[in-house]
Formats: sequence, C-alpha cells, structure tokens
Amino acid sequence: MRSLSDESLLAGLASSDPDSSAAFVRRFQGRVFGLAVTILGDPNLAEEVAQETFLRAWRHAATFDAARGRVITWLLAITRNVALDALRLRRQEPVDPSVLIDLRADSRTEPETQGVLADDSERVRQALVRLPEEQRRAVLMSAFFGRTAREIGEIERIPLGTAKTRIRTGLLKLREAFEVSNDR
Amino acid sequence: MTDNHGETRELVAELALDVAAGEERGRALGHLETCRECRALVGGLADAKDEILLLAPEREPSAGFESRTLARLARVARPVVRAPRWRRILSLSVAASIAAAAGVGTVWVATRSDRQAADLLTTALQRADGKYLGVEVLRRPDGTRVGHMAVYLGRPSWIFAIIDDETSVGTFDVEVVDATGARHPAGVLTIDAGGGGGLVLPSGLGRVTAIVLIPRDGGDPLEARLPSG
Ligand SMILES: [Zn+2]
Repeated sequence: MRSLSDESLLAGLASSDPDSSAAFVRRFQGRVFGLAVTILGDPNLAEEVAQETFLRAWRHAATFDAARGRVITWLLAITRNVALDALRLRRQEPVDPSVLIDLRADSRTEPETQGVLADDSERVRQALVRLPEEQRRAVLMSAFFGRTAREIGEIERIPLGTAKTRIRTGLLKLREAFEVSNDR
Repeated sequence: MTDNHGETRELVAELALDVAAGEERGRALGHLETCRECRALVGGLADAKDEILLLAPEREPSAGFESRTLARLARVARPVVRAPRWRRILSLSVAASIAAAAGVGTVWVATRSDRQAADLLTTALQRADGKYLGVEVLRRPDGTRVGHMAVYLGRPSWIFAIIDDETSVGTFDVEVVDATGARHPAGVLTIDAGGGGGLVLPSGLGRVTAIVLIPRDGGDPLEARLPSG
C-alpha cells in the first residue's frame, strides 16, 4: 500500500476497498487535518471537517481528473470548501493568517514528499515572503478563510478597490513564482 | 469576446480564490466561457492558490481518527453495497413476488438485474391469482420521495416498504385508505436498519387507494398511492 500512487489509492477508496481506504486516509489525514485546523483553529471542529472531507472524496472520486492536478491539491480544495462552510456557520474574529503558516525556510516537508512538490512549495513560500506584507495578508485571508475583497476592506479599513488590488497583485506575483517552477 | 474582458481581468484573482460574489461573479463566469485568455489566467492563479493551501502545516488528528473515519465511510457506503436490495428481499418468503412488479409495467424503474429477478417472479404472480401487484413511490406529505412500497392485493394481501436512506428507520402504524377516503388500521410495520419491512394485511379490505405509514415516534406520515381504476 505504501508504494501505491495517490491515484491508485483514490481509485481503491472510490470502490470502497477497505485496505486502500485505510491507506488513503492514513496518507492524507495529516495534510487534511492540518489545513482544517489552520482554517478553523478548533481541533474538534477540524476533525469533523476532515472526516467530512474524506467522505466527499469517496463520494466524488469519479470527478478527480489526474490530467488537471494532483490528488493532494484536489483533496485540499475539498477540505477548504468543507472548512469554509463550517466557518460561515460560526463566524470568527479575523485572524492574521501569516501567523498560522510557517514562512521560514522549509523544515516541515518530510523526506518522502516528492521532490517536485517540495520545490513548488518552497518557491511559493519564498514568493510569499517577498510579497509586501499587506498583499500577503490579503491573499492568505482569501485563500485560507475565504474572505472576500469587501470583507478584507472592512478588516483592514481600506477601500474596496484597494483590497481587490492587493489580492490580485499578490496572487499574480505568486503565480509567476509558481510558473517559473513549472517551466523547468 | 464580450465587453466584460476588462472587468474580468480585474476579478481573476478573486475568481481563482473563489471569493468573488454576486453579479460581478456571474458576469465574469459568463465571460470565461468565451475567453480563453482569461480562462488560462484564472487557471494559473488557481494553481497558485492550491500551492498556498499546501503551505498549511501538517498536523496529525487525535488517535483513532483513521478508524473513526473508516467506520463512517463504511456506514455511508452501505447503501451502495446493498444496492441490489430487491434481490435480497426476494429471499424473504413473504416477498416472493414483490419484484414481479418491476416486470408488469409500473412506475418502478428496475435495473437489469432486478428485472431478471422480476421475470422469475412474474410467473409466481400469475399463479398467485392476485388482484393487484405494484410498486408505488413512498412520499412525505410535501411530496419528497423517501422510497418505494410494494403492494400485493391477493390472498393474503401484503405490503413491503423500502426506503432510500436511514432517516425513516423505525416503527409505523399502517392505515389503509379505501375508495371513500376512510382509513382502516391495518397493523404495525417496522423498517429495520437494512431499509425494509413488510406486513401481511388483514383480509376483507375493500378497494385500496393508498397506504399510509404513521411513524410511532412522530414525524411525517409516509404515503403510497395506488393507481386509480
Ligand atoms: Zn477575457
């Protein structure tokens, strides 16, 4: 099971194969739960969200398209959706997401993570560090907390147009960093 | 390319982050249908968003998370596993001819395997001298479909309810509605965790127009209407 690809495990999960399902959950639970906690701050709620994420992955496995991305990004997109639904039900005080993410040079990525993945993450991390702080905060608030430009404007006490510009400029710079890493 | 190109360019990041809202989102999504350039840009930005999400620190959930999740998966996966419920029901003697309904042109849309089972049992029905055999949709008062009820009016008459999910598991008082609209108590039916339950009806019923299941623990009654005439 350890050597099976993410895609094979997902296929096994889709067909309710017990061994593949267990291996799938084991392989991704740290990332799924980690993102859920980052978004929600509440470990109990985050566990519910993580469970619901695996349920949806099972239910919607057929919609996964390997040509369009990796299993992990697909799964984290589901995690984000479920977590944001939960977050809307109990609106919290705005959090500065920079404090939740370790922006220092990477010490976290485990050895078995594919080199490409580690590289991409590292580039995006470095690009985030290089962003002006207000752009970084705007992008991270949208990415992790689903904050709209209007909400960011209110939180930061800036005009809507400024909030929109921060999100756009920040994300465009990150994409450049990411695309450089993909053009190798 | 529509006039919304400029407006959409302003919104690409919010679209990629899925935080755009309202009419401006609607207009931009409409524009994306026709503009490859904007579509590619949003796609690239969405990839960047995916990379950002990967920066969330990994964290192991509490002990037992894996087994709890798998148990929940097993619970919800069960309706899929038990999909050929009709065949399972066939093993119940009381229902020996229920699936025949699928073969006699009622509302039931059978899968092929169900239909094969039905063919088998159509023969049984012909021998049974029944007045009516049908599978009707079981609904809540608001029209929501909750499952099916097989109804056999013969000697003896019986019903068998099959529900689509677990929300209607429980014990029901059964009432038979006749042509005048009068209701007659007909016994108690229990729908088990497997999603089905049957009951032999008392003899001497007049023309039956509907069967109503009234939950013992409150909640909406479920009704199956028989075709008129
Ligand atoms: Zn365009």
